[in-house]
Amino acid sequence: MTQDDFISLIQSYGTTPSHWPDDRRAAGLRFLSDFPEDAKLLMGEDAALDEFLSAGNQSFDTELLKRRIAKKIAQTPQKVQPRTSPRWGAMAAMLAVSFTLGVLGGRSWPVGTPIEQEAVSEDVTQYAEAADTLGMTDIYEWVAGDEL
Amino acid sequence: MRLIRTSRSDRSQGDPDQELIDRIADGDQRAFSELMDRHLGTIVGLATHMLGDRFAAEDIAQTVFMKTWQTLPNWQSGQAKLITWMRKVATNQCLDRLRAARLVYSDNLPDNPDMSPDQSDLMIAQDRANAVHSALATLPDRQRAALSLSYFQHVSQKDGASILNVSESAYESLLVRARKSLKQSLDLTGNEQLNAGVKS
Repeated sequence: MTQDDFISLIQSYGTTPSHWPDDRRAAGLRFLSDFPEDAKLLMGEDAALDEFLSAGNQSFDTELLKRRIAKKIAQTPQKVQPRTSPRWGAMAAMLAVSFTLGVLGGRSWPVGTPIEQEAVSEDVTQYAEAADTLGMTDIYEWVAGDEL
Repeated sequence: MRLIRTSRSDRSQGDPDQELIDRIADGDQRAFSELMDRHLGTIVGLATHMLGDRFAAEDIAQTVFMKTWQTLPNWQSGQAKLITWMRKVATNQCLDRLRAARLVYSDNLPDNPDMSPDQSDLMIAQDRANAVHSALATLPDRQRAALSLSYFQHVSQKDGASILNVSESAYESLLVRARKSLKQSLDLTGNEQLNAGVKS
């Protein structure tokens, strides 16, 4: 670790090695042991700041607060989400929709495309009109001719 | 009951609170009491350093633990550790509260602490902790949060960055600026010449 690296380390995390990042602690400690006098001078103002801040390290009596929270949670149900995972739920919903659309479509839509449907109904009309023009004699002749 | 539960072997390696998480997820209030024994002081401490007000800090801690109680049945193990998530919720709650307070009391920002020798001695004798809170209150919110997490909570660089939603280098930059501001406001910057002497 260079001197600049060491300065950068203490300016960020202070002079207490346990506060230093894991990946730089060993190198920082090596700098401290290799250059103790330099390190002491470099740490001057940050050591003073750490000393000042250390007064803020208090322990907090939380017994009353703990009882208050415990009382509250006893009255508060937990928010439990449904057991099924979202993926299964979505798949089930898609299948249900597909099935419904399929059934409805099968019932209400005629077979074939609209153009085919129009052509079929036109043929039926033509045959019906042609049959109307035939007399009974024509029909007997047509049937007799067929038998021959 | 939960969305995703990892296997026991996956869980055992990560979060030291995993066993409590499982029990609380099943509605065990005794386990929740154990969780409070472990972390309530930590969260109150973080909020106190952020807000400088013990009562407001307790309010924040209560909110964090209520959220924890309600969230754990759906907790997805294997992501953040529980305490990191709780610190994140607490930090965000504090930042929101500081923002709201500034909107209401924008003319009433805290004064810089008076650190002249007489006053300093008096403060140290009377209430050094309050002096620290006053000094922290002079910092911008996110710098204060970074310093609280790093110095008082001993949170790693990675976790601190994750809690504040910034990169690790941005987190380190917040720390440098926070410490620099405090050194200046506390008049601790007299060693610059000494530093220069070492360098030359």
